[in-house]
Amino acid sequence: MTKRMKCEKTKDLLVDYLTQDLDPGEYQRVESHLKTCKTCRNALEEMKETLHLLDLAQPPLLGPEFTKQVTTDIEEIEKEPIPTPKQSLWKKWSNLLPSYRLKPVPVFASIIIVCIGVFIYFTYFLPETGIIPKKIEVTFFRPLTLKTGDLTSALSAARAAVHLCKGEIAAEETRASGVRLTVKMPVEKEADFLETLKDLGTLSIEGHYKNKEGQIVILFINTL
Amino acid sequence: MSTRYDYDEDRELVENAQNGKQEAFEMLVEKYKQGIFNKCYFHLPGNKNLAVEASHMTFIKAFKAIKKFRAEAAFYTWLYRIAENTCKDIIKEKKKKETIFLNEGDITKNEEDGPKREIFIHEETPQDNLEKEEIRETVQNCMKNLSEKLRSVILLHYYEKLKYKDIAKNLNIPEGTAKKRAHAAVKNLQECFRKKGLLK
Repeated sequence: MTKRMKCEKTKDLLVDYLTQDLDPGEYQRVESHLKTCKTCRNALEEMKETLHLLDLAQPPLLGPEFTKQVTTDIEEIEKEPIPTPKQSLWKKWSNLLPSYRLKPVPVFASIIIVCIGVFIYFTYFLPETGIIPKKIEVTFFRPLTLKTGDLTSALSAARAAVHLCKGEIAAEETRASGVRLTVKMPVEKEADFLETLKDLGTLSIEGHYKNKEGQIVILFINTL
Repeated sequence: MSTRYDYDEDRELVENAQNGKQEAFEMLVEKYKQGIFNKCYFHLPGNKNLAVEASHMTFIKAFKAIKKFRAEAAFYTWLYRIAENTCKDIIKEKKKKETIFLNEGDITKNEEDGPKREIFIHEETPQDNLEKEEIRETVQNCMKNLSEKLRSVILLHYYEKLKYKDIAKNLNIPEGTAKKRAHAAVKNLQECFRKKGLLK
């Protein structure tokens, strides 16, 4: 080992040399080196001064009153009532059924399985006769059509017939297909009104000619 | 009094404390009060009363949490960590109040109400020991500047007079690491002392 390495090694051990933390062999080696090396002796003096400064900063000693104070406070803590821990919602529910030991995971799993089973049953296995659907009545509405070569005269005569039969004209619309006349007619006069329309042109009755309001709808078509 | 920092003896005391035996906890307080106080003393800005308060709070917190302590860990390490966190909390609180430290005590300044004096009883310093007091403060500041790892080792080795193997057990580190940290701590302190003019 070179002298420099010896010095480095010795300096590293100076703290333990002074605090007597070296084994006997190491202690002897440091002692021998210090006898021959002024640099390391100076380093030793500096280390002594360093440790002396640490001694100056020694914290004060705590007296027995410290432990007494801690003990007093602990006794106060022991006297305090133990707060009741908040119960989770699950625990509250479980407590309502004391004879059962409910565990969250299996119970939730069971609920999910039941829901899936119900869904599958209603989707795939429910018989069709089980539920009888309500009968739906379909009414096809088709206005009366009156084909005429003189649309103006036919319309005029139809209006006059409405008034004669004590009915009233609810609407009159001109469309691409013709003129659409909507008439409100007393039921007992319907037959007479229809007879009159037959005289005005070719009348076609192809279905239910009354709208939702019960009014007769006639489509006047110009054949010219 | 039993040997301080006896790892195996601690186990028994801790178990008894966890089972509700208050005397066992008191014995632990008596064992470790100086070590914890030393730690707090150097962590906080050299004020004895703050260090006492921090130490006191540490033991109260430890008592409340003793049942959570796992017996296989070193009790001192656990206690030391509580002290560490307590000191940090105290520093945070004091920073909020903008406390200025003076030799004769502490003046707490509240921004809203104006200057307010709070009395902390400081140790009386005779005039002829003023130089010593200044040196002590400088050393404390140098200690405070050490990292927590280095400071904890030097406190146990130099002030608590523990051997490296006992330090290793209490801090849950290898013995070689304890030695290295002690040497590094002293080296750093020497540097600091030289800069502050304490070493020629």
